[in-house]
Amino acid sequence: MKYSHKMGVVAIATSAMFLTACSGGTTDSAATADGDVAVVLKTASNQFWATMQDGAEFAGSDAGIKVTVQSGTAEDSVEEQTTLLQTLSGESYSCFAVAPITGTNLNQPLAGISAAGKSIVNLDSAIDAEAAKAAGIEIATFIASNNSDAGKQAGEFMVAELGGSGEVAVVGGISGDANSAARTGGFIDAAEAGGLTVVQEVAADWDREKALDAATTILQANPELGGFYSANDGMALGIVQATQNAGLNDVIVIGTDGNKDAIESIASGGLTATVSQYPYAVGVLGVDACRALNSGAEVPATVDAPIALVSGDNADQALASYPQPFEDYANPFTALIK
Amino acid sequence: MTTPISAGPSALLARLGLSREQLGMATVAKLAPLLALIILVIIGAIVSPTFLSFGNIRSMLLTSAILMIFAVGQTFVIATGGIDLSVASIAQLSGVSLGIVVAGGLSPELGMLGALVIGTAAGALNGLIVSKLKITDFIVTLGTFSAYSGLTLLLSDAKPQIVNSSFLIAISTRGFGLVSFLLLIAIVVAVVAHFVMFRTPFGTHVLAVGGNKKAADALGISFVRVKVGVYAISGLLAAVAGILLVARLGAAEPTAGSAYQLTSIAAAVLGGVSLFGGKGSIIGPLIGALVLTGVVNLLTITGVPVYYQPIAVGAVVVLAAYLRRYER
Amino acid sequence: MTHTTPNRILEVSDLRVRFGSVVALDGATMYANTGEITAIIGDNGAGKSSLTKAILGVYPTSEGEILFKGEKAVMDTPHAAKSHGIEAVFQDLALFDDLTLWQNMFINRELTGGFGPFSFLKRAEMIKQSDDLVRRLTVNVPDARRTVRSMSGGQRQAVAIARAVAWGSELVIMDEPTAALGIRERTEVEDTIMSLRDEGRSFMLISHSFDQVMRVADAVWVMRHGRAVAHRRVSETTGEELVALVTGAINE
Repeated sequence: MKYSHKMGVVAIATSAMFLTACSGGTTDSAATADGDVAVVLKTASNQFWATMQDGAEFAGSDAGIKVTVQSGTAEDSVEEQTTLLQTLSGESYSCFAVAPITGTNLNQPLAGISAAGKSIVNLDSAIDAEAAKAAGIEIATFIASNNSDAGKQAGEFMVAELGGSGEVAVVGGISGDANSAARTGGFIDAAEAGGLTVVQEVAADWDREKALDAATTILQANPELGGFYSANDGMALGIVQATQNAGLNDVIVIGTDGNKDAIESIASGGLTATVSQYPYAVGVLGVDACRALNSGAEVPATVDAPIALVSGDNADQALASYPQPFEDYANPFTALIK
Repeated sequence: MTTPISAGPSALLARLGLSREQLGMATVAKLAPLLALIILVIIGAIVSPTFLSFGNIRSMLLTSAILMIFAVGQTFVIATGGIDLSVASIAQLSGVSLGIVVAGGLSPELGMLGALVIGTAAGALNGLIVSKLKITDFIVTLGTFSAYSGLTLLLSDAKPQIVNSSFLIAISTRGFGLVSFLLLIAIVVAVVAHFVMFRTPFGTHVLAVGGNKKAADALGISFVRVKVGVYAISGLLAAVAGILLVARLGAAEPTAGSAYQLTSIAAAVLGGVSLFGGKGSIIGPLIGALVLTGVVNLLTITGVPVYYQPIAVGAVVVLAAYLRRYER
Repeated sequence: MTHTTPNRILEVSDLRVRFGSVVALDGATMYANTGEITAIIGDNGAGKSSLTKAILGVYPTSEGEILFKGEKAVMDTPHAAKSHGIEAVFQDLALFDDLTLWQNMFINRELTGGFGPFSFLKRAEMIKQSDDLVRRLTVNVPDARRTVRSMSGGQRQAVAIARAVAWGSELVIMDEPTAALGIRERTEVEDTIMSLRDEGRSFMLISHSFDQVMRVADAVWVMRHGRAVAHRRVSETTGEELVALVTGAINE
């Protein structure tokens, strides 16, 4: 029977694979600070994540351990990222630092990782806590920039620049986005506490053009406006354009992110300031967290990645040390690595 | 002209369905999917010390499960000489319907049942349009692919819906040793599919319609029943895959899994299913799915940049199709 | 309507088949006797295939009557013809190349066990029966498990004929069954048909070969322009006369 013949060959081949698998086995690395680290990020085609990868790889080579970084083809390649982590989880890494594309898409392989007793470090985008608990996933630490802190720093700077009184407007990203809400919320609290009045808050979808149009309208309606806060740099640069078009070069514009073109704009007198996030530092912290965990240490549940306000005073410094932070920042893991 | 069949080696060839002169290249072609797998295993073992490790084989089997299910459904349709370009969007539609039920506070089990019904219905609709309105499969499923995708985005508001179901979590994360539950489901699907295709009259009719529609019509086989049947099967299996995708991703993602549209066809072709219809196999597409998954896996563990993966997959499919030329 | 004599297995009366403005059958009246081989000859386009397809339910008839064993019969689908026990061997054989011999034999009539959605194929039995059926037709018997694609022309013909003969308990209609065969195979097929006829089976045979008609058939109808214009008992005619009837040299 032609089918049973073929089935027979397949059965033999599969058994051969089985036998090889059982005899092969993984090389279990002992839990030492030298354990291998796997890092899974969203996508290398985005500057932010590419920089985080650089930081992680640097930390690895600096400490002399093997760090493997993998990311998907695009910011929304959800299942691809799941498969990447699934594949890495079958290898002999002792610690996994991951930045999931959605709150839950890495949970399936993470469950296996926790079950095997390996450590998990969550970077930048939070894993949904309820789903993680339901799947039995243990996350050792969550490392991210504190978005509301970033807004707060911008708010305090605005208060200082405007001397404690004046009108300001706020431009957010996509309506409903958690990071955007945290940033603008932090700014508004600090600004109002410092005596400023927030006359308008709009959402410009992280888009430069939309921000430019919105700012133009706001300036026309509020000719006495003292400054703008934007939830990202792209929109901030659009707002700067709007102020220049209106001939109102004294209006203060503060962005968020710390992209290179934003810092260059600050250095040449366009953008007033920005709050830099440092994906590079997040990468370093992630690897260091793994090193600490591999050596058996307990780590704090959340760690804030460094942020810094960049203005005319330190723009040159910031550019020189880009993408690294120009000031020392707290790395709670170095002390924990044995 | 072949000599009369008697006992001995000729009988063995007869059992394989081959005549003497067809041996050689033809056998290579027939066993192409298996050969591809063996070659992959050999290359993998040479290139990487961990390719054949327990953990990695488990990963490959797990990851290939969903593709296997899509490929089996696609095989039924292709065997009738058709093609289903809407499988990924039916999976997304089914997943989203599961998400909606869960978001509405009802049990995930009910949601899964609903998802299966919706997937089957969506598939059956494809079959009806193809057979009753007599429009070619490619065009019909191209149209429904768009329609079902749009419907999915509409129903989900283009946002993912988290689905917390202990059943789905257990399915996606647990198993027995090498065999994770995802793989087990794929195997069950394959066994049933094999039975349907080779042990039931319906299966024979599927191959007949694909092989010689004119003869099938003349001999009284209902084109409508066969087409609706295979598309319903494809839709049902797409729904199963959609549910497993939700399990794997922890949420109903309206746009996840679009790649399966093409890889389901690639796995079937790699597995020896002829796009002209009339020939089918279930174990072939399973092996095809395993090979495609294995290639991606090997590239990942050897650190090759992820952008090479689609190139490698394409090359493998073309190579396998080339080998098929010798099968005639 | 005239009362039909009981030994006519099939009779058609003023049968017409039209496709739009094209007239394929223009009032054909003919009959075939039970237990005989009735040949149908005529030039290309005379309506031979249209006649048989109308009888088989493949072409719809616009006018006229078909009588089967004396009873009026409506042959509007292939299923209708089959249910009367009428089977055909078409010119293109209507075989499925990638299915096995036994699958071809039992297509749409599969032997099954179980019931409803759990019915499964009884493969072993179908294989055995197919083997028996083909064995009766030729010594060159292919394994029933082989696919048709791997068979020679003669073997494929044997399968197609075996299928029709197996299911065509009442009447088997053949359209040029030996056109593609070599002499030895053609002889085998003709001998088989004749011995089955001797057992009491009825056949209708479309043939372009006057020699074959004279060798094999009992009666012959000549068709021209969509009508049956002449009828002869083979024992009472010659090849030359048939030629003349076909070309119109003799007009009836």
